[in-house]
Amino acid sequence: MAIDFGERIGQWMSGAGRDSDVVISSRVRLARNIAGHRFMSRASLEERRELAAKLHQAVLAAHVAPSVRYADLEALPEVDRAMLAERHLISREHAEAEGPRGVAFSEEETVSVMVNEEDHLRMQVLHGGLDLENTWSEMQGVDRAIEREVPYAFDSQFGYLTACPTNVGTGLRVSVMLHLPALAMTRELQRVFNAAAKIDFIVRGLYGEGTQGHGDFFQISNQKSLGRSEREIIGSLEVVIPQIIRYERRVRDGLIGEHRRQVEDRVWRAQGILLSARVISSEEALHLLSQLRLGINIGIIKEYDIPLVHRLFMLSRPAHLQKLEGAELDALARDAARADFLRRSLTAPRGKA
Amino acid sequence: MKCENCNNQEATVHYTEIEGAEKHEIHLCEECYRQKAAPVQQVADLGEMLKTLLHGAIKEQGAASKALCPTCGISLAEFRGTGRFGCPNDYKVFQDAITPLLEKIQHGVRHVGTVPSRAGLELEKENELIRLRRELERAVQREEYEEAAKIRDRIRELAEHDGD
Ligand SMILES: [Zn+2]
Ligand SMILES: [Zn+2]
Repeated sequence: MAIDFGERIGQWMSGAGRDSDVVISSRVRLARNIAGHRFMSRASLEERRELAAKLHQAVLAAHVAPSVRYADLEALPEVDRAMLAERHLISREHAEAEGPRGVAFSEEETVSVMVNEEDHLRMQVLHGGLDLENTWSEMQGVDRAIEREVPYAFDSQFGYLTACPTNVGTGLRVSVMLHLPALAMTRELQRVFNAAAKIDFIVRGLYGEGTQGHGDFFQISNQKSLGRSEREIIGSLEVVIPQIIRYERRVRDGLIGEHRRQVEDRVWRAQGILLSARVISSEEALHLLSQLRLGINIGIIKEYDIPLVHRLFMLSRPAHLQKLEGAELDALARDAARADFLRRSLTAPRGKA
Repeated sequence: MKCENCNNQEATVHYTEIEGAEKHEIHLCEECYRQKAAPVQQVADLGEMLKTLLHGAIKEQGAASKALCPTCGISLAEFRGTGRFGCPNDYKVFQDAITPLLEKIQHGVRHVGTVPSRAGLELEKENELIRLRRELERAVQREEYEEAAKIRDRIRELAEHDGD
């Protein structure tokens, strides 16, 4: 079994949506467990297999989206699992775990349901731009549909019961992924993050816990899941995120006003490297494309558009690159293939997606 | 070009830092970029934070930390080690021990959000199913396959009335 997305990327990376000059995506996640079963870390292999089969069926029967496909991760090659993680359809932990587990995802890749992750079910809805309201209501629909198929572990005092008490209660994690190159450039970022931490938000890098901000991309999420309603949790992000967006825009304007030459230099240098380098690491690619994205958003770069840059972000990640090349490549060969791919894509006629 | 931080690895990350009117060219290897320059110096790690808190909150329990969940068999000490519960019943069994922890890491100790729109299993039945699944695991380990088959039937019987 293998999965091939070709050069397609998920809807959430399309570059569309509200405030998309700063906001990449809005994501809502719910953790759920099935009544009458032990949590994952304690369940026997037989029980995990039973759960995987039962939940595979339940998720498909729930019709959570018009067209849903289920991937059995136990049977999937490593590079395909890594690719699903790069697309944010599964967590890195889920990609690297062992044993009976899977993921169901919609064709648009806006809905995904992980089976047998840390909790029996980890479901998410993901949309481009700032759109917490619709993302949450779609998530609720998915939750209700699956609930009709399987009984959840729930307690009137503690709410939805999860393997780890950091997720108990609502089981809700709301995350907004932001592109903050101007704040990062001027060292204002730490102040924003400190302020966020004070009001119980957590800031993480592009690929979840423990990762730092690659290419100036940051996820801001609620840290607490019990003692506040879903509405209140989402509401608090709806207050904080627009403030960060305004801050980033103000600093962008300031940079353009007062340091135009330096900013232009940075952006053009990034483009220069992308158009001529022969070896580019994935870290460097994120960094360069981040500069290019900033350049497009502040009007310095006109020959490329955001959808193209987003496509390159995704397709130049290690697993995607290997899928495109159709071969397993070591780090050095990957960096060479990445440089060639980026150069080709950006010098193609008109260079638009 | 060598990394300006470690002077050892090849510099692959190049960027300009602007502070006031000052402009600095920075050339780092990936390793140093990740450790030094990436803007978030301390990304809070929930797992780590939880472990620290667990240690503080639960070590005073002493003898109580040896108590076992009658349903899944996990002890408070095991929970402290991994930060993960064994079954839904643990929230009740270890309620006294985890309440101070929840007060620290959560907004409160009472759920105020959405509730399931259908009734779940009866608690009694829920815990019985988990006990049976644990017995089944032990029967298989002891290679008592007849016993295991009986337990599987019993689980099927109980689970069939899933409430739908
Ligand atoms: Zn270095
Ligand atoms: Zn238990």
